Amino acid sequence: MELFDHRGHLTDDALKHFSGGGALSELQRLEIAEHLDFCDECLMRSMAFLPEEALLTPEHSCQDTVWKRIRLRAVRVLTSRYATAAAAILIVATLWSFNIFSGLVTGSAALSNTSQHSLRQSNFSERIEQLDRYVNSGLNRFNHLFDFGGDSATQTDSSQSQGGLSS
Amino acid sequence: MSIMTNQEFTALVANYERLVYTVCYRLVQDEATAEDLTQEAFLAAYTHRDSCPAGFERQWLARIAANKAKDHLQSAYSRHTLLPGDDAIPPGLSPPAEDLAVSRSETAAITEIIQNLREPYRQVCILHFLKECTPEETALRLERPVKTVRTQISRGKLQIQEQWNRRSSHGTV
Repeated sequence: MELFDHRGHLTDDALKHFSGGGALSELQRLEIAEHLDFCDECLMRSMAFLPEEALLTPEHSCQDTVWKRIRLRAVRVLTSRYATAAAAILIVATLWSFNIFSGLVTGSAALSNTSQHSLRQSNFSERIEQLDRYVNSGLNRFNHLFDFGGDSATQTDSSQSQGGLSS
Repeated sequence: MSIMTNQEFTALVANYERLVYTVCYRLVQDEATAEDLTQEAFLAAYTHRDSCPAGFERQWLARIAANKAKDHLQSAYSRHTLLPGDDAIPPGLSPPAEDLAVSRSETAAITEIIQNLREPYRQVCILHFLKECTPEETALRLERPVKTVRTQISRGKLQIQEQWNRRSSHGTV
């Protein structure tokens, strides 16, 4: 049986087989599904081959379960949005309350204040080191807060804060 | 286009549940899967209910059902079929260019195979392999989705390969 005509549309035979539950291979059914997914003409024709009396009745109706799933999905979307927003606010509030940002703000302010003098005296790498120290001190406060990595981490951080990027 | 109310959507489910189930069942031929896909189809319909064309609810739902069945069949088909891709041969192991040179008779044989492919692969493969259209250009010319064209090219390639191997084994090339 030819599924498609020379124009690439489904033949009447194919639609009859499809609507009547005729034997079709998996590939043939996939080809029909792919075609009905985009072809308006064949979709309209296929509806003519599916009159009300030819329709099947599912063993379990989905009328109730569809609404349950719609509500469940709505709850999930809502909770995930609120949970994401709440987590973001909590992180920022925690960091802010422990002055994590103050080091960065002071650091950038200090850089801008001293820049007029340091433009002549210090080079670019020194300024980077300075910024690095501020960042490291901020991170150290964060590490102390949550006690990440214990003593070894603290030692590493302190050595880094002394050595900066040049180490 | 007016927004569908919940009552209208409930009526839509009640009216077209059998149609959606029938389309899904005829395509996947499994009752439990068809029931799952029916639910999926109505969930998708609810999400996109604003785009339902008035007076064409039947066709609109049938299309959504066909789309859900297509996705299911595609994943099932690709699980047990290895489709040839462009990256089938690792770069370092590809044969030298002179070995890849195709003789005129071989070119003619491949062209003949492509022209004799069955639809829906014939037009796609002619445009892609013989007229060197990209999948996007092919999709535009045939008014088919690009994704569908890509899978049809892959399956067409598999059919060309099979027919080529058959010809080679019979010594007709």
